[in-house]
Amino acid sequence: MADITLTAKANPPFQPLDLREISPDNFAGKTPEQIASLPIWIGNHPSTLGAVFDVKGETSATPQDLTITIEGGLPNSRRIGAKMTAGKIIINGQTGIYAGAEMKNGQIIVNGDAGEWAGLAMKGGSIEITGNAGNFLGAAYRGARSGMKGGIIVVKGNAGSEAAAWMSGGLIKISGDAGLMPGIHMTGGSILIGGNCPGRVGASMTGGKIAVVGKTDDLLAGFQIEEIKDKAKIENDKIPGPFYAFSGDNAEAGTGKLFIHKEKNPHLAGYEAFL
Amino acid sequence: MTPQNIIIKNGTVFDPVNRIDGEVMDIAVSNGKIVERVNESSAIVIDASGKVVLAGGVDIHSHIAGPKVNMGRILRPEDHYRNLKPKTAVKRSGVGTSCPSTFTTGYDYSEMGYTTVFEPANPPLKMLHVIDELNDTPMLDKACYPLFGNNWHVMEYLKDNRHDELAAYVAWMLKSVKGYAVKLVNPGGVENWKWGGETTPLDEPVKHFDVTPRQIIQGMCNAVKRLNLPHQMHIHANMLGTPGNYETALETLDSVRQIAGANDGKPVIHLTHVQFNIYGGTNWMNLSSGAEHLAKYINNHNHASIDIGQIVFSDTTTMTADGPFEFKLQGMTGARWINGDIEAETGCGIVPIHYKKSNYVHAIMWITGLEASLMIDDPWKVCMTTDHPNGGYFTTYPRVMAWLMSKKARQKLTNKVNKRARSKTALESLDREYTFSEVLISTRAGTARLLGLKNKGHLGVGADADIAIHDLDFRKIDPSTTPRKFRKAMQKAVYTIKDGEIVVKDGEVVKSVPGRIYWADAKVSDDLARTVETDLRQKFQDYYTVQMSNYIIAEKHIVNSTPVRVNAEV
Amino acid sequence: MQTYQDVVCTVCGCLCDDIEVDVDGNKVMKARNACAMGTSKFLSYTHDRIETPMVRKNGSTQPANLDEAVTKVAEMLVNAKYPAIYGLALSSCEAVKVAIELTEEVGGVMDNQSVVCHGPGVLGLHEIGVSTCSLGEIKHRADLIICWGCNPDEAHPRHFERYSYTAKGRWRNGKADRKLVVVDVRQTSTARKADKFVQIDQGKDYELVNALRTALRNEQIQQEKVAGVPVEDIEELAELLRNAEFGVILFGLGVTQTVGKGRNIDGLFSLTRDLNKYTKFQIMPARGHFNVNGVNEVSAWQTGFPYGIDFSHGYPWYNPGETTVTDIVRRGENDAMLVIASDPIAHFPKDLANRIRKSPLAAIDPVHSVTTLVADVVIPSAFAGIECEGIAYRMDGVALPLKKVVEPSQGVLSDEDILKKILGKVRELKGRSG
Ligand SMILES: [Zn+2]
Repeated sequence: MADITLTAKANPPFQPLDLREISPDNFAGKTPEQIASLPIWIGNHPSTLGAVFDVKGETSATPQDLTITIEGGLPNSRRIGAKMTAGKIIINGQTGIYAGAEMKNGQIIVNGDAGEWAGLAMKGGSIEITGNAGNFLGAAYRGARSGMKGGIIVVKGNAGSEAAAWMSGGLIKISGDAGLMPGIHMTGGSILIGGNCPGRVGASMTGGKIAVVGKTDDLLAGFQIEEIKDKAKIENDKIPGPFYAFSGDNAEAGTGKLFIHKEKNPHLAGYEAFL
Repeated sequence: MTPQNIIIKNGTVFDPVNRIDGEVMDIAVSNGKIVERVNESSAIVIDASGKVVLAGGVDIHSHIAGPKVNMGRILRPEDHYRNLKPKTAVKRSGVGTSCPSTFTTGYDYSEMGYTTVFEPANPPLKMLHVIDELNDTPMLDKACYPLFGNNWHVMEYLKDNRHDELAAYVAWMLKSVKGYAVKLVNPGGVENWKWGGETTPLDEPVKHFDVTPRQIIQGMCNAVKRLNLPHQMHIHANMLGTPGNYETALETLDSVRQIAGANDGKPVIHLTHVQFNIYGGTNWMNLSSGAEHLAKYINNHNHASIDIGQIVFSDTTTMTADGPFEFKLQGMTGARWINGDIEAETGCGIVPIHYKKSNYVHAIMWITGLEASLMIDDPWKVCMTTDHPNGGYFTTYPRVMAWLMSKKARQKLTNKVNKRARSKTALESLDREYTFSEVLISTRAGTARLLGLKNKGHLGVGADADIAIHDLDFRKIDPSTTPRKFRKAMQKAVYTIKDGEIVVKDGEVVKSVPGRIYWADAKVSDDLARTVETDLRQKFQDYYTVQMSNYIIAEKHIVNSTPVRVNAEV
Repeated sequence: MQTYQDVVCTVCGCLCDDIEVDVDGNKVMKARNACAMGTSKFLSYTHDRIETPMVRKNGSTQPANLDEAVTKVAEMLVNAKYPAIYGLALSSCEAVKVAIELTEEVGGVMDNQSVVCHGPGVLGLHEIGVSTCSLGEIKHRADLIICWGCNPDEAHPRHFERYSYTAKGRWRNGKADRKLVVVDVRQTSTARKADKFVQIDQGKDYELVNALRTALRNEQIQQEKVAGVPVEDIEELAELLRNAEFGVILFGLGVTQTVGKGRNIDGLFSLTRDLNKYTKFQIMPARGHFNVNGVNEVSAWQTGFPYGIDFSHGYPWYNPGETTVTDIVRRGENDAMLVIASDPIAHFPKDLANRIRKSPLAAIDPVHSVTTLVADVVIPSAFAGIECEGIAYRMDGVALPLKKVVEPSQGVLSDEDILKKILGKVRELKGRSG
């Protein structure tokens, strides 16, 4: 195993930092000096990684044996770990947007908050965010009707709105609260929301599963109750309930499944009349 | 600034118009024109030995600008993300694959050796938009075909049998909105669609208007002929994209046979993107190619020309004034859908599509286009197009050229397409391979002739100095056996010369030029012109939501406005 | 006295082009046919004008000459690593073209007022598409008009008379042949004219759209009320939509800028698409700024993207949420801003306005605003469509030529000409530094 540590220099620029070069795929086989000279953008200004980071450590020949550790928060960063296929990135601090976008394999751990579009159109691998995630977690590019296809995203804190838009596969687990419209347009895959959600769960979903263990607002009219279940099965986990199980979104002729915690949502008791 | 003299030395010249078929010779350029000779000492000398020297490409049908194309651009950011083009010292930045931005469109065409591209479907009410986009499409000479097939004035003149006034109205319109040729798209069917109706067979009257598509086609064909417009009526036929529609295509062609009169060799109708219009079968499961029926008809008649609308397996965007067709397409595919109806005139629809080799229908489409290209004998009647971006992007033209010139290239792909489609095709039995000259006829010489562009599509003295030089040495590259090498050579020109200036070198734009915009100015009798103006003044306010004076486009809005004046017979 | 015919009114997205303007001695005397908003603009365009360019020196802004102001703006843009250029919805398309070229040249971000009005509709369009038409289609054919979160009676006073509810079309003789339905959170003046008013709970538009779509598919709704509307009423409304011969939904900021934003429009576009399985249905935004559509159109054909365009890497890039001015300012990522005929300091949320003021700010505007008050450089400009020509795009995408009916004050240029001067100066400075 080999480790490279990137330590953010003091007073980093506040303009957008395009750091798409930071991935084990690009670092493997390079010396710290070579890594420091990899190109980045500071706003419209072409620069190098070395301008923003001190680079230390040793790399490996192949990305799967490499761990990159980033010390220091860079909320204005873009695309750390984008398209990575192997290895590991640990970010100790806040990260900006597009972390792990189009990631295929490997692992990203964010010890802090992540900005919008973490895991955008992700295909595989795993992302763990110990803090909060921004909007559009595991979502799709504008105009692309395909979001997350595979892999796993775990958020220990809260997630923003429109998580898993156009998701077709994989798993997203949010321990805290989720924003509005989780799983909008999703066609497959699973979402587990440990906390609350303000509403519009599964809007226009045609497939896949969403479980909400906390509270949520009224459901969309396109969902009909099917049964009450003791447990909700999300991938390999059996989440203790009981849950109201719904099917929808009928507005989109969908056959997605919603599991909404029964006891936390007494305002949904009216649905029981339709069982 | 007068462009400098140029002499292209020792190139292998192909110029079908002047019957030059691979002769090593020099071409001289002065003042934007091809000339007999120039003083070599003061000229730029281009050594073209081992390279081919051709007239610049002339595209008769490519959707490059206007409200519909722009809606396509807005619909598809994810299409643009596939191709992001930074600004250079010469080029503006841009994006796009199936719906490229305007600057990029101009550069990409020019780098492929094309110098003239005509935009084939424009709502007259939105022509100022079209023109403004064409102003921003550099490197090319351009023109537009306003849409007439569902126009209320047209249908009313026809119903009242006022054929002179109809012709004069067409002249007024082209002059007012700066159009070049007359385009019909699904005549009558789009008006029906505005009530949610469908495309109609030729003899079903249009709802509320009491004229039939056949009457519209015949009436407009006649009007265009009497106006002596440079290009014949350009038509996207009824029933497009429907199994068994080859019959409608043939009926459409035959409906105007009489108008051509005695066989003077001048076509009166151009049936566009025939690939979408010549299917056999009765449903999508038994869809088949009807190319042989069309080929037989075209081979036996001289009043019609066609372009192919070849499909290329790719992720692209369909866009057409044929609103009802696109509605049907989105119903079948579930893809995103844009519809845009235009008052008193026309409609528009857009649906992204991914043509896949494994898909039976898509494979039949691919086969149909190639069969039509290969079964029609006379290349002067067949224009190579992909109906960009409907069948594929214009940047795939070299690939299509390679299919035409190489049975091997076709076979390689045929081996990979849907098996059931393959079993139903005659394609594998067609041995014909286009000669290079035939490819040039269908991509420049023939297209220029059909468009009435006497100074384009050839390299004779007096022609516009629109020239493409490609790194293609037939001693080393045999398109039939090494189609990939041929394709590569045609993809990027070594030089493109536009109006006597070197604008592309080594496949990169080195100079940006605006190009011109052609439009037709047909002179009709003063009396008729007055009558039509009076008619229009009466109805305009009722039919439209803009004032007539604001509908008419002032020439000051056009970069390099180039009217083509003709004398009408009315 | 001179009368100009067929003048285009440059207030809202209706772009009424039948205005007759009387001019006497370079002064507009009368504007016939215009609505109250139009009349007021034509008659009081001279009010509150900025007289001279201003440049901040030693802490306070002072009058300066144009060249000095232009140079300041050019320096500000060239020195920035992430400058933003914002506004243009009240400029001509010709000015937009120069602004795009300028933004490209300085590697900045160009955004327009769409971001705070109908931009979210574009996000819906990317994923669903849209079925729409020119305004004349509504005039001739619509027998059902739905105003959803918009109030044309106040915001687009001539929309009904020229294009929709009361307009006389080929097959519809004014309002006798049409039904008007208003969906809104409060009873607006438009709602009072409506045949049916559906009052919904604040921020519940998506819920109602979803219920309508569900009802349209004849699926059971297992709730008593959705968005505050009884389910029976929703089912009845769905029937009304389905049974229209030609329906149209006009929508406004009451649905694009409320909870869910772009997703509300995603829902409305989906509803319109679904309705086309049963009948003919169209949808159209009721756009406010007269040329906000033009900025989007020109941006789209030159760059591929309608607003929020980031040129920092040399090519156009677009992702609302990332490249939109409001989000850039929220993250504090821009280091200069040029505002063209807009007032973000007054109209953006206070925290964003404060952030904008932290970096160099320049403004081009005909009139005083909070933004021009705090800007480091201010350049006065002429009003497009009154003092200078140009092209603008109506809310349905019809391009119309704007007229110049009076001369601007001495030395006051159009946005187009000011931006050209800045672009020239930028190139000069870059040439010097490169
Ligand atoms: Zn076409």
